[in-house]
Amino acid sequence: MPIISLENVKKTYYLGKVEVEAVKGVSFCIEKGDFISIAGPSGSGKTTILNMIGLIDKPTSGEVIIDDKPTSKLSDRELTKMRHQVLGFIFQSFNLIPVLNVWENIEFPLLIGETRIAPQEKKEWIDHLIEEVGLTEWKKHKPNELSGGQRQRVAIARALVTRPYIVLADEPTANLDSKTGEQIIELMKKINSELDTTFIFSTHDAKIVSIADHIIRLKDGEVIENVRKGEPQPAECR
Amino acid sequence: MRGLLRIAFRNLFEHRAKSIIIGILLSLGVVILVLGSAVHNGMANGIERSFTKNYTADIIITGIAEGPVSLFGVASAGGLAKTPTLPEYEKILTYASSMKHVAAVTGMASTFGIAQKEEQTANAENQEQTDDTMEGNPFQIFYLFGVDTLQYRNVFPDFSLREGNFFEPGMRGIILNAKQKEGLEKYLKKSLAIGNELVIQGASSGGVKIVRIPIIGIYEIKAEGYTPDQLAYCDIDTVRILDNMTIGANIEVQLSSEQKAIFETTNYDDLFSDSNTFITTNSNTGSVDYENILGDTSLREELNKVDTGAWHFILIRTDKPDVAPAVIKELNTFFKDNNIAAQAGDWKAAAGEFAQSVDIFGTVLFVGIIILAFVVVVIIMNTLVVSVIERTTEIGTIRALGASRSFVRRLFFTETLLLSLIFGSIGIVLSYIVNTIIRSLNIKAGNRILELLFGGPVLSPIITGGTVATALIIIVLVGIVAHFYPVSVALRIEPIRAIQTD
Repeated sequence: MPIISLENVKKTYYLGKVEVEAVKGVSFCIEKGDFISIAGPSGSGKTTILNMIGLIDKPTSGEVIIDDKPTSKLSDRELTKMRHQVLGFIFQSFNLIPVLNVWENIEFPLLIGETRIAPQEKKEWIDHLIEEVGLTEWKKHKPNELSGGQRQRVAIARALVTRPYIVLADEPTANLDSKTGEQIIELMKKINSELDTTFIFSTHDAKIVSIADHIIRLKDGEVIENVRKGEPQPAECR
Repeated sequence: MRGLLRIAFRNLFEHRAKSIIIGILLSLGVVILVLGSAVHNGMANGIERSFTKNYTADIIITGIAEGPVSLFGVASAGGLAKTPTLPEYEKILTYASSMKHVAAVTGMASTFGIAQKEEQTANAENQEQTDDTMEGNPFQIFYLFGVDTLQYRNVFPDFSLREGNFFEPGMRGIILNAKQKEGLEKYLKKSLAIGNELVIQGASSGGVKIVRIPIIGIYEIKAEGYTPDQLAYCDIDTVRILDNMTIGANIEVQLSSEQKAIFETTNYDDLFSDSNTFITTNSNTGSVDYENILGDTSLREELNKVDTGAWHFILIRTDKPDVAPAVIKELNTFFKDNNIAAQAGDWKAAAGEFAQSVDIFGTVLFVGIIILAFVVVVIIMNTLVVSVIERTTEIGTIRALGASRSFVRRLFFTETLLLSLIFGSIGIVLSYIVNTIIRSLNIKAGNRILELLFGGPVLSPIITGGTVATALIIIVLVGIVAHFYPVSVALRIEPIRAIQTD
């Protein structure tokens, strides 16, 4: 049962009067609990596809279906609600809130949603996530007091705090050294196994790509390879 | 809410340069607002205190006229409207005296008078000449307050004399102030002392009257700066004479329709064109007894007698100043229920145009506040817009993480509210400090305009709880108005801006 499917998704940008077709009719399916890599060189359309799956950008045509729900006709309010309840984000530049410390940054998504959880439960869950990403000693520190790897660990914990089905990570290792990058991917993989959360990350690092269960390779806005656990995948969902 | 406050507070601290710029503006706005209001309060308080204590008491009752009636006459376009005589004076006086919270009551009348030189007296009815001589000496003109000799000092216990004595019952005379005496001496070119007589011409709309009255005292000026120096006190009968308050003054002659038609004609030839108008008779003048026909002037003399029951006003002193509005309301209900053409008003109504300076300053202050608020709003708005633009990625991230537009709106609202309250409070503390310094400096007015502005000889601004609350409300409103546009800019930021670094 796919949790995400893209049906002939196209995205066109306009740079002044120049039309740029970033994604040219992409179709693929993603199964729940998979660890997926969207790979490809710069300009291949990785980030654009991730943004459309993350509901922060809309396709020019085609449909992104998440959890059986077509998203192209959803209102801003419904998209916002879905982003909060279904999706988690890990950004390339970490995008932590500078005025909040580690614990508060992880707590933040819980403050902006409609659902409320008991304070004790919240505290235990955030402390567990902090422990999981190995930042217990740093939980009172502000982002500017942390290294790049530590910041990305905070971002991972923050993405998981609302218990989403899907976590999207746009080049999560791009601003990290290779060793730290590998550690981050290993951490994501560990959480993926433990929590059965679907992780989708984009990268152009071949070493990191190999860790994924499902690899979708892009070139010039088109899927050139779609392999899950060694088997090629059809564009249409089964 | 706690989380929102925490983020808002930390954001303000994080962007402290901008917060301080906005904060300084807000604090400065509050200081200007509070101190401006404090000066206004001091002025209003000083004028009210002086007027109620020395001239108007707490409540005035007057007759009804076309314009507002004050102790200084009726405000009318031509300035010639006669102050109405108070109807049913005794009934009103008895009722007012019996009311709860009424401590003292007195009757009063007022008019204008013009001091005359002895040589002018013979030509007093020559208005043209009088006008000429009025030029150049303001002390020649009087506001004359005709007082009830028995009751006046019960209502105004602080009335004090520098020289001479107050009126005894039945005594005629005038009580001047020292400045007025000096001005008159200059005008009359002779020195004046207690016992000397002044010739005063009535300047009311009721016709020319001239009286000769002795100076019986010199009073202490109390509310210097905002009452006319030309204010003199007179016995009531002298004022009645000068103001033409005669028994017949209010009697209207009822004309028949034929008589009215004669006055309404415009063709005077018609009055004499009838051949029957003039008839020829045998002249026999010797037999007409003119003395018998015209000699009886008793009715005319009766109607010209001074009406000793006529008063323009009743002034009331209440036991507590704050009960005045309730007493005024009760009096006006009494007038309505008893069909009496009278009205009760507060000290402002009694002081007329002299109290308007308070309202004028209030209006100037209000306009100033609007301009100030506008300037502050524009500057804060621009600063907040810059702040929003700088925080585009942060706002995009918040939206991408699932924050609704209303959360972003609440975040900015909270930040603005915090800024307004924190710096508004700092502004209030600063205002108190500046106010204390101003009061301790004992800044003297030095001239009449500043005396008016200061509400007395010394600048005494008063900060009240109401002033502080109003300033805070205004500054919070300014903040809220200023944040609307920046918030609309923030709300237009799409979640995708989270990944677009500028």
